[in-house]
Amino acid sequence: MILNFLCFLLGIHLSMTLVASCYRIIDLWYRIRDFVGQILLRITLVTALNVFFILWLEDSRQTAFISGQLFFLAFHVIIYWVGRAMVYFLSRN
Amino acid sequence: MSIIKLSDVRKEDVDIAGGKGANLGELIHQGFPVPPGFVVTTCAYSEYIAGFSQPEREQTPEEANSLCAAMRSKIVTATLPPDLEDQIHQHHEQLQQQYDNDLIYAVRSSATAEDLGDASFAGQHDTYYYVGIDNLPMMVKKCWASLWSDAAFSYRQSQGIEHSEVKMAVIIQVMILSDVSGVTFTADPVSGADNVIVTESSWGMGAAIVDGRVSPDQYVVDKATRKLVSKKIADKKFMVPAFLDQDAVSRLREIPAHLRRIESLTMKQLDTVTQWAKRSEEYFGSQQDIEWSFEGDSFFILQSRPITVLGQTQETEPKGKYVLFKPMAENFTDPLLPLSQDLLIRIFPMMKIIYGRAYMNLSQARAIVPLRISDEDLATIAYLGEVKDFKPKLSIPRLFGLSFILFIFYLIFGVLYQRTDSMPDDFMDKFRRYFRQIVSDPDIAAPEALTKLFFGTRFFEPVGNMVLLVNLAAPRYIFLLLLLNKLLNRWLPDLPDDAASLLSSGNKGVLSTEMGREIWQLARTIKHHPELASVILESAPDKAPGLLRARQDGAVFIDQLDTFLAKHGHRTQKEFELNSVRWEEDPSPVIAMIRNYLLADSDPEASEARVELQRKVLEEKVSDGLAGLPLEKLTGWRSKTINFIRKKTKYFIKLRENSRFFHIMGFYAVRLKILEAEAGLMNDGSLKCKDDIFYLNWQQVMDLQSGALTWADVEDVIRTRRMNHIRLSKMRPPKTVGVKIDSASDSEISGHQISGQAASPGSYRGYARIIIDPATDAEIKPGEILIAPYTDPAWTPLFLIASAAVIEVGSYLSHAGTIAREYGMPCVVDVADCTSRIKSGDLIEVDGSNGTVTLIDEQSLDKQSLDDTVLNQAGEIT
Repeated sequence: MILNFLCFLLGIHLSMTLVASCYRIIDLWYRIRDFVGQILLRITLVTALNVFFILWLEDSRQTAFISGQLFFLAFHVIIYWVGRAMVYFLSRN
Repeated sequence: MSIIKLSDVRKEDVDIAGGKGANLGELIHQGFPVPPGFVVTTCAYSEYIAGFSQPEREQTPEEANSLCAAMRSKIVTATLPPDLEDQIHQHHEQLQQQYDNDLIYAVRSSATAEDLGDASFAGQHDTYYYVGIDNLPMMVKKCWASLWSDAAFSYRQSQGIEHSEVKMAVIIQVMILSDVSGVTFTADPVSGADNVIVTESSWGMGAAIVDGRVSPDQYVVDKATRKLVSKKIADKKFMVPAFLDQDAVSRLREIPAHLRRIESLTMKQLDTVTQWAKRSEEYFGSQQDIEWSFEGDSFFILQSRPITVLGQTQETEPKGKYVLFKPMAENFTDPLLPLSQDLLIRIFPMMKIIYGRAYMNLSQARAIVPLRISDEDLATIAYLGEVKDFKPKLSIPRLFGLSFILFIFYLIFGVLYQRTDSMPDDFMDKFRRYFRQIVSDPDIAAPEALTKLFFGTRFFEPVGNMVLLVNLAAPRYIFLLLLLNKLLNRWLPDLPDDAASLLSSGNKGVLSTEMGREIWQLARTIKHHPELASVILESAPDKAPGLLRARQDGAVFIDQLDTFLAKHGHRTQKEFELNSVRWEEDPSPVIAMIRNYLLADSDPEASEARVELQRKVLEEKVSDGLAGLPLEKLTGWRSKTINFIRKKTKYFIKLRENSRFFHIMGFYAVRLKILEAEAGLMNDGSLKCKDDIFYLNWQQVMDLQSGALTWADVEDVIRTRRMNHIRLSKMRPPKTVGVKIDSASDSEISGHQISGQAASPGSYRGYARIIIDPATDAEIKPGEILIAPYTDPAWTPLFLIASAAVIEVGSYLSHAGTIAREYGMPCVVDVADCTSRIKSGDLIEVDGSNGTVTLIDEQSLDKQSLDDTVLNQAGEIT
């Protein structure tokens, strides 16, 4: 149970790291020529790490890990829209 | 008798000259220096309004308002009796014979119920200045009409004064063209203390003080000995000048930057004011509120009346428990204006604004502290960072609560933290383009500008555009610095206390420190051209740019200045206050700082090289020390760990300072939007004076724009809030509200030692230099110790000259601490009243490691110690 929970948290963290790595394309777009290699290397490594854990973990732990990944992706999208709603509310009041 | 000379009026003549007139006449009779004039008596008023139907006490408010309006209209439109007009002209001719120039007058209402001691009609009846002879009849009628203003009517109603019994006289007095003017109270109007005389003064005419349009200088003098007890020199932004420009739209004029922080009264003038105030109190036999002015060396009393508001200024505090938020206290040394409060609270909803300052809600903070702890201890920790003899007990339920909150925080901000953990220096530069885009869009109002610039990000927004969020992600350096300190203490216990700070300093690319260097570069450019330097040194800072622009040889300097302003022009002092004028709008503070450098003749590069050398020596010491530890030569893991943490700490310190640089730019965008709205409202007459908009909230601004409100609806609101703001400016905000903190842990003075909070380690002995305003106070010399009420980036250039700093507010995280650590100079913050306890020229020792400042008695030092101190002034380190 505890290991499953830790796998769930690991899924969240690695998913978060992958999202952040992908964002670097946007964040560093203004100097993409300088950083393209570094960005691609980082995305590749983090993706590989994610894939490694999916393949390495078994049964319920694999499920927990993937659940963690999907949970974070869903959370990230939802929290963006919640944030937008709050900003709208703040600017109206 | 329709008109009577002011000098013929006596105190018994209230019925014919009104309260103010009788009072002034009596003052003249007793030999007080009152400007000459004459009084249009209440008899003239009674004859004039005979036959007009007057509102009664029994009428409903609506009926009364309508009748008051009709009464005012009738008074102003009816014709003055020719005989009365002739008499006014005759008295004018008599007075004119005593003067060379054409006389102008102050025309003042003087009602019979006014200033009776238990009722103050302050501000309810009209006064007119700059009135020439041709306009006198009309202004007399307007003063009469002001007896029937809605405010005066309802005040009489509330005081139970019969309307028909109140008559209005009008005082026509030669107008004093004041250089300095003010108000003096023969008792403290806030506390009611009877042993002091409180004088408030500012440049120009007194109307700016009476109307609350300026925060005046304040002098407190002991009534018995006439010795100065304390003084507070305010930032005086506006004045009503003695002479109006022909094309002037408003009576208010901005005070030139170099005069704003200058004392408006000399000690001799203050003594004159004090003596006359005492005489007035002695004569009238009660505490007096005296309006006065100086025209050149001549002193005049304009009014003396009993104080009616002694000790009546208690503010109702909000329910709950709040602690002053120290890391931000340096941004709130003055209370925020209502509009700034209204807008900024939208981006800092966790803050509570009390007394115009930012407080932290203790109940919210308690939710994330996993300890069993009393409110008092929690407040002490929140304010001071520590409690003496405190043994915390862990609360398991709260620990779970905290874990959950941290988990949610991690989910929300984890991506942002990772996105900002290794970005190049220039990644926020394009925020400037975003800023311009928002500013140039006329459809975006101030609140939308604020939320768009700070939170209005798209899903695929570059992190460089999220400057406020980046700022929130930057304080990670605190934990890294603590970790670095712990590791160094563990592995190399012999290192000095400031080792971690020194190793983490010396950042390249910190925009606020670069700003200091760039100002110094500007000074260096101009130093090579003595004629240009003399323009800066000899002319007022607000005039200097214009004079330099007009000169051909000034082109290089002006180009450099324009480049500087294009980059740093959004900065100023008190940057959180949206009313603060930015350098781009008025570069005179920058010119004043260049002037400081010219006068100080310092070499910041030498100072930086000295710190760099110290750092190099320390690096070698660390490297050598670690090399002697087990397995270090083989693996080098300790060196690698130290270097990694050090690199990250430096990166996050830079991230914090640079993100602040850009989010302040966001505040400037909001200010520009407010100024745009203000211009529109002033054009259509909805607002009458510049800056009044800052005393409204945004909803009121929108209502003025839509026509739902008019000037008449907001005039009183603005006046009341302005007065309240001045009162709040004078008070020291309490450290806590609704809870007490351990006062023994607070900043304290014992013997010659003052305690504060350590902000940058090291110790230094030298002479103190009090600087209240970096834009106007000059002449800090290399080697001196900067003593300041607060600091923000506008103060950075002074850190390049000073050798240590003592600051009245702030915390380890505040600007002063960050910059002092960057420059490797000792700094103590949160030293209460240091600008009044320490005097310029005092010999002091600053211990930035223990957070103490010691006042040293020079007499007690032997010659060698004193010589060492003098040597320090040349830049040596103890």
